[in-house]
Amino acid sequence: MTSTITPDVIPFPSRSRVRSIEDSYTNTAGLKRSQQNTPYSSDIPVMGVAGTSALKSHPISIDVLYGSIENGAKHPLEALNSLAQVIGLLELAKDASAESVLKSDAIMQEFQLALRQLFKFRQNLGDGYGLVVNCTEVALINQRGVPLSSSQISSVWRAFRALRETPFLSFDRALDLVEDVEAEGLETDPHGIGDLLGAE
Amino acid sequence: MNAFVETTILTDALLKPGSAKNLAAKAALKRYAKTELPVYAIREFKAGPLHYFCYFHNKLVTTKSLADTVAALNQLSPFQRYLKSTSFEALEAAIRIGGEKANPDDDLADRYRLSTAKLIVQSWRRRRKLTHSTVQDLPCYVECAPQLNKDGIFDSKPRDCDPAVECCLAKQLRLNPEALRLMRDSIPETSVRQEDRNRRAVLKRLIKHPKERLDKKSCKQLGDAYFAFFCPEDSVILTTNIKDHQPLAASIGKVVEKP
Repeated sequence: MTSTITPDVIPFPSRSRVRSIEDSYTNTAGLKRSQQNTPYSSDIPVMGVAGTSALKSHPISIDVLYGSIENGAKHPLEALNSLAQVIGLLELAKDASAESVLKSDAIMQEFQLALRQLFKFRQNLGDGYGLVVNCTEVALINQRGVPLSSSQISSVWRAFRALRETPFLSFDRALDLVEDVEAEGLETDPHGIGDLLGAE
Repeated sequence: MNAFVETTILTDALLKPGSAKNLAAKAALKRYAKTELPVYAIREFKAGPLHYFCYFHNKLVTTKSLADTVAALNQLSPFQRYLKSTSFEALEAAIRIGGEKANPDDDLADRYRLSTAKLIVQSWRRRRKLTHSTVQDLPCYVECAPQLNKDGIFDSKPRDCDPAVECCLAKQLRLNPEALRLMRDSIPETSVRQEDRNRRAVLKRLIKHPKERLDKKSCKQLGDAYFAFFCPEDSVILTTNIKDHQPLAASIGKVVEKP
């Protein structure tokens, strides 16, 4: 008896089709994706999707990927925008740290305030995302006002860059990012949490 | 000199980040040429402190409230003796994260949930990296990481050894009845502490009925006696609990040191 099953081949969209999809999303200024020129546009990471080998030369920007989410689930896109903003702040703080600690610290205070807003996106993005944002905020609180060094700011910047690349990251991967921040001497656990449980 | 690391050091080093105890434990581990962690300490760590952390985490998941969680834990005996003295610290820590207005209770609960989950996963990851080596594997104990289920609840089982087989330590313990006797005699017969009474009873059974099966409960009750008995001759027992370990260790010529 011969099989009646025939394989269905679903072709990947051509690059021109991808560009056309990308350009169908405009920013608030009405600019198409290819026309936008943000401070982070050259750095906007791309993310592979299923069938990465086929799409290797035609990656879809992460902003486009989550930009296509319908109304009612806007958080991922809002989170990406907010993450881009805080990454910008970290870059400014990093640059400023070479010339003035005060200037750098003022930017980091702005960053710390933004973290509270970022934490709200955790319900849509998951615990990996929540862990990185929470641990960073706790680390800044544990500094008790002492400004971060340039290398510490860089470690936080790397964590947030990675977070923007893969906002739906696993808890284990998030812990790796947090441990990189801890390696720079930042304490990411709330003080007294061990004593809270009287662990012996 | 080498160090045979006891459970309290493991706990301080892994579950009390940023505290004076944590710094002391880590500094102490650097004092010795070689540090060894027996798997028995990992078993105790998971069944005790880590299990409490899992419980706390899970309570935060189910109540979604830090206030309710602390209140609930205050009612439970394993936590009671510690929590009351540290509840102000908890409150302070909570306020420091942003104040009640900025962070409502469910938000705080989520922050503590994430921090607790981090400590659980991280401490398990690091348990075998803390010392130069991990020694004395327990064939009857499965060293399995706490698992998160689909509801976000940590399952810390198995916490005990396999009940179907005899405790793997029994054979070695029976080889040295004299040490067992000396350790038993170091525990005051009149002690009112349940822990002492249980340990004395197990040691007595091992001496008087060497052919009797040593079960997982007895193995657990040996507790501090395990460290005295199995600590290598060229090592000291490194613990914060000098009071309990000292008499047992001294009875068989072993040395105890604190961080």
